[in-house]
Amino acid sequence: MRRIILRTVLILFLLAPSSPLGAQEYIIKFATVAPEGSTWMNVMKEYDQAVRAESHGRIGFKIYPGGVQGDEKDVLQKIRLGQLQCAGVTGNGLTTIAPAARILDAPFLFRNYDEVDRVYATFDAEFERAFEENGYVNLGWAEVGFVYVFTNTRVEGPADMKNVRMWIWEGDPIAEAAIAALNVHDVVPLAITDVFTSLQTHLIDGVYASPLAMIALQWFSRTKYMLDVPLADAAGAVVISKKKFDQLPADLQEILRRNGKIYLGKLTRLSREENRKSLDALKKNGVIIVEPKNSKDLAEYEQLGKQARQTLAGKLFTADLLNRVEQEIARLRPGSGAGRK
Amino acid sequence: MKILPLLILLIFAAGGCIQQIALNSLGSVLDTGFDVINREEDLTLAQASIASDLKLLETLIARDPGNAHYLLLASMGYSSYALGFAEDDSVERAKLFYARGRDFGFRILDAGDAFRTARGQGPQEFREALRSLSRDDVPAVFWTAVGWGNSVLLNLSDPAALADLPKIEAMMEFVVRNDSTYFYGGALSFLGAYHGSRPAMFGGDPRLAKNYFHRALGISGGKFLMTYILFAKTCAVQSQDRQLFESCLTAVDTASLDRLPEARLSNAIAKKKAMILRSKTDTLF
Repeated sequence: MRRIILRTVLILFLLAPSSPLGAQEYIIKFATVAPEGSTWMNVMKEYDQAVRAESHGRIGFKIYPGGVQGDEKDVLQKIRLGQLQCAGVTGNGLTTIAPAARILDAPFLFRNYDEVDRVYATFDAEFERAFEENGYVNLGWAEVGFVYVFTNTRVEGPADMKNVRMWIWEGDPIAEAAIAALNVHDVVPLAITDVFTSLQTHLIDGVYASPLAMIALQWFSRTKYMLDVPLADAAGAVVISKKKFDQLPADLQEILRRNGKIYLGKLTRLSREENRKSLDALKKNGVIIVEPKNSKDLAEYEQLGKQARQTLAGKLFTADLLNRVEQEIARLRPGSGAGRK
Repeated sequence: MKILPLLILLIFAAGGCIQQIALNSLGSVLDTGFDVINREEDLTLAQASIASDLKLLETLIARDPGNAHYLLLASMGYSSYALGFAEDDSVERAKLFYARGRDFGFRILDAGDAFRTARGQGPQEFREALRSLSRDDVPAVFWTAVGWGNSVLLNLSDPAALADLPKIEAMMEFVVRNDSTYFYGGALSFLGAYHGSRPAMFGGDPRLAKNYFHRALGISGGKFLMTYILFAKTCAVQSQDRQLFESCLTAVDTASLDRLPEARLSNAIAKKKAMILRSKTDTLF
């Protein structure tokens, strides 16, 4: 009898959940280039903790930070192979998995965050379909921020751009169109890993990036001027493979989506704040912020941007989508009658 | 009657001398104390001793604020304390102590106008300003950069801090140029960690990093175990090289603390860190 009781106790013990929250049923392998300790990673960990808590430990992320799983291209390849399921992506990755969403990166489209927020809110469902058509679910936008041109020769109006040897991220159609619109004569396509050295050796003397990226990539240490006209607002998102997402029970899908919106929304707000602080840090480190000479120059940049966007229509996004996005933004601009948000 | 004021003056002057002699001898006691602590293998005893020595040192600095020797000991002491006894338990405490290590170091280097001015300028001006320093400045530059660098690495969400990294890199390169052997090749290890902990798109370079680590290990003959910890924690993890990770930790585990008696404490801390790192293997790979 005693032996039976002992055996029963042993079996019960072995069958008991390993943690009070129950065994984890679903692990989502997530990769990002953001390093441990960065705001990106801090918020991603909060997202992980929230979904673990709400699901009573049934689902959670295994996070690979700092690019240990490679760049966006490598990570998307690993998602296709089933080695990973989830990633933080920016323009490069979006071109592959949701080309229509790259309209958000279009040159000189937005003037401020009010316009950005309006377009994201209005067209979210449409972009969501673009992800799903390519086998992904967007768990939330994680904006990189406004991108500016940084140069070693002073650039004020579009005419000054002609003298810049400008880097473009090789294989990025949006960057190609944007830089072509600026009438830059000397364009140097390079992988992102070669940019710092190329600035050092003067192979290039112009780059574009968000203020925070300029600091994180240390390109600011090799550039002197920033043209204070936003070239584009770089988009980003945390995406999960649709195959993996569809395998999850509905309640876990809801937990992932809802918390994704909450935490990645928080990340976007913090990124905007960090970009603002980065501008101060750039100034402190000797980067000179150059205002456009006059409103005529500003209008010329916007006109060049409009032409560049037209050249992209029919490639990454439709002319119809472009038209509707531009109309939505126009409604917010002074003189439209709709007023500002 | 003029004798009386003169006598009072002499007594005060003598008092000042006596005080100075006392301060100097306390300083030399502290020097010996740090040497003795570095030979200690019991982490609890060492932690308590360093903490009390640091407060004593700050008292000495309050009485003699420009004493570069005390300032260097304080910079060294606070950064070492952060590394050995704070960063594995509380990031906030580690940030505080590394920042103190950095600031005591700044007080030495800021005595030179060029350094002080360049701290508020861009990385290229800062790099130029380092040319005004000499080999004698290596200890102050190294320990200031240790405090500053680690303080930045624990504040990666602060863009202003992040923008200081090229300056810290320049300081460690200065140390390597002037005395790469200083503190068991510490600047080489720092640069190894710096280049080995970032992905290529952020300027990381695993080959360069390995080269720095191998040079540092060559200097200590592999006896200074903290080099292996940094190698495993940065380069091996970033390149997802589990074999390298394991071999670094095994080198630490199997080394005797008596192989380098003058760095017994650092090596005992390295052993503790190896255990912590090993327990995180499944998360890191």
